[in-house]
This record gives sequence, C-alpha cells and structure tokens, in this order.
Amino acid sequence: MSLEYYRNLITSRFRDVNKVLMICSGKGGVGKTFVSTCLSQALRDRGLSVGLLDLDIHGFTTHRLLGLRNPPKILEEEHPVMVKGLFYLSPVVLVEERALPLRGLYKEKAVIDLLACVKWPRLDYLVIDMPPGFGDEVTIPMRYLRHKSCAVIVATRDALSLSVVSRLIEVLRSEKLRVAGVIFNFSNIFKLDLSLDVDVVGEIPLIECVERALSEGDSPYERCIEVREVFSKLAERIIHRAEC
Amino acid sequence: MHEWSIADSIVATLLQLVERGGISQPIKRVVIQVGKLVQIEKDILLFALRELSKNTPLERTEFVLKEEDTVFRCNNCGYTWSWDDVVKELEREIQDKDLRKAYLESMHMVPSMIYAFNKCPRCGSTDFEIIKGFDLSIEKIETQ
Ligand SMILES: Nc1ncnc2c1ncn2[C@@H]1O[C@H](COP(=O)(O)OP(=O)(O)OP(=O)(O)O)[C@@H](O)[C@H]1O
Ligand SMILES: [Mg+2]
Ligand SMILES: [Zn+2]
Repeated sequence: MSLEYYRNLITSRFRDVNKVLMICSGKGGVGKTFVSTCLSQALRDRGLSVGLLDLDIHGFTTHRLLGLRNPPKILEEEHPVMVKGLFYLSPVVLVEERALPLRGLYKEKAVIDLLACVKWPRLDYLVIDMPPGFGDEVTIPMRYLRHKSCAVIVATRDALSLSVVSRLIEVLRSEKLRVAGVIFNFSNIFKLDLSLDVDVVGEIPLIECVERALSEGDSPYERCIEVREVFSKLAERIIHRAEC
Repeated sequence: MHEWSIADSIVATLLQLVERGGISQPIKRVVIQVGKLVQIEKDILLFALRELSKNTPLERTEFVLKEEDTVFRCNNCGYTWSWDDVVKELEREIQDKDLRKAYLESMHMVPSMIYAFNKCPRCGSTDFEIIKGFDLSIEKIETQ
C-alpha cells in the first residue's frame, strides 16, 4: 500500500494522542527501556493517561521491566491492552517470547503495522521504547508522527558516547524532530564532561535495587522507592520540556 | 478484525487522489489484491468500502477484491511452500484452539509476525522470502 494510505491509517490511529515521546539512544544498553517503562509509570502516577509502545522488534523487554509475568496474548478489537494502568502494545502481545527474525522489507512493514494496528485512546503521552540507533524503528515513526513527537535521548557520560549521540542528534535535527533533551544514565559511574548541543533533562545513578527486582520478576519502579523518586522528578521535567 | 479501518484508509486515499487532481475522470473500478496471509474477511471489507463511499465521488465505483495465495521460498535450501501449509503446521503444533486463533489474529494485524510462527518445512530455516501475497495492495484504478 502507498505512503498516503499508511499516513491516513496511522494518523487516525494516533488522532487522540496528545504527545508522543520517543525514547532513543545512540548506543545499546544505556537504559532506554528502563527509562521508557519507569517514565510511563511516573507519568501515570501523576494522574495522566499514558500509553507505552514497544518498537524494539528484536529485543522487546518492556514487559519484563513492567514486571508482567503473564503478558496478555491477544489484541481485542484493535485496542491496545491495558496493563498496570497503561495502554500497552508490544510484540510480546502478538508472539509471546518467540524470536522475530525479521529483515529488510518485512521489518519495515512490521514497524508500520505496529503503528497502524491499534487505535490509541485519548492519551496525554504515548511513550515509545526504541532500539538503539536510527534504523526503521526510529525513522518510520518519525515519518508519520513527527508533528506530535518529541525525542528523549538516553546516554551515558563515557568516551564513546559523544560521537554516537552527536550523530543521533544530527539525524533528529535533519528530520525536524523536537528534542526534549538528554537523560544521562549511570551517572555515578560515567562522569565524563560531555558538551552536547541539547539540554540535560536529568541524571540517573545506578540503582542497586533494580537488578534485584528484575531477577525476581518484579517491576523496578514498583519495588524501589529510589526509582520512583528519581522518575517523579524526571516526569515533571519532561512534562515541561515536551511542550516545546 | 480491522477491515473497517482498512476500508476507511483506502477510501480516504482514493478521495485525496481525486481531490488533488491526480485522477480527473470518475473512478469506475478499483481492483484490490490481498494475500491470504492477511486473512481479510472479504465480504466485510467490500461492504465497508461501499458504505464509506456513499455520498462521495466514489459512490459509483466498483470495488473488486482479488485474493492471492501467499507463497514462501527458503533462502537457504530453495524449497517453496504456501499459506495452507503454514495453517496445517500451526494446527499440528498448537493444540490449544484459542491460542492458535490468537496467533492467526497476530498475523492478520501484523503480517510480518509470520516470521515468529513459520519456518522452512524442509530445512527449518527462518531465512525465507515471501514471494507472493504478503500484503494488501491496490492493483488497478480504472477510469471511464
Ligand atoms: N539507572 C539504573 N540502575 C540500575 N540498573 C539500570 C539502570 N538503568 C538501566 N539499568 C539496567 O541495565 C540494563 C540495560 O538497560 P535497558 O535494557 O533499559 O537498556 P536499553 O538501552 O533499553 O538496551 P537496548 O539497547 O538493548 O534496548 C537493564 O537490565 C536495566 O534494568
Ligand atoms: Mg531496550
Ligand atoms: Zn529450507
């Protein structure tokens, strides 16, 4: 089907969504999924209506960080599922823990269809958890949702970070995506003074309780008060900045 | 089941084409091709297309749906197979009827999800191509 067809379909699916927050990074493993899930829960706890979309097609893990032991297995009538007070869609709902060895055209089409397959209800924020970099999973949502989106960059203050994050920012800028700012993760470990051309939204130290929670199948946000405190502040700052 | 949303976007896209002058004459016939993998309820899609075209410049347009078999080819060993083989294999592998229905629904909503459920019947590879019937497409738009 044509670009216009998908533009029409995806536009109608996201019509009632006020703001899309795309959680991106240059490198892998810096804490995007941790930020996506905790931020969603913190925004929810402020009484906002929040959706979470997992677009990390090969490495979807939002269900683990939400502490879902039995994720829903079926989409009812084109609606996202409801978990823990969040409207939610992830490949896990479609294929459980099966591997999705997608490439090329099939991957591109999977991203488009994940954007097109459910009608999101009235939402203050829809948070999208992205894989690292700026492949299909990032560029396709930008193509269709640019006008109501804001990128939140997750990075670490280490020597390799700078050039990778700079390239990501370059792409976001050339695509005219607004950037809410960067969150520096593991801030007590990585302390290099990076000068980036974007605002700093906040810093998150390594929080020990997180790994313990995950290894027992729990949500770090629910288990760890420190996580809730950090994200309560971050949520407030994001709310301010996302109105950019 | 998202036939109505599909119909809605097809109609919207055709109307834009007409409004923007991409097509100057009235559209007589639109031929839509759809792969079996998408598992479209053809009657519902056709009904929706007709309903949504009422009181628009597409009022008199005839919509034709052509179903196409979905054919797979293994990049590893060259074997080819089709949608019916996938369904049979799924029936063999997954006894729970509701679960099977849920998986088929997943492929209806996001056809690429076939890659989680299907592999080459001969060599077991998941590196296969869908050489026909992957998607839904507008094959032809005929004017007067
Ligand atoms: N501030 C933190 N304190 C403790 N653990 C953390 C913190 N941030 C992230 N983690 C943990 O580090 C691991 C990697 O984080 P996460 O999965 O969020 O990274 P990611 O950027 O999403 O990775 P990928 O690029 O693979 O998607 C996870 O187990 C996560 O729970
Ligand atoms: Mg991740
Ligand atoms: Zn084979």
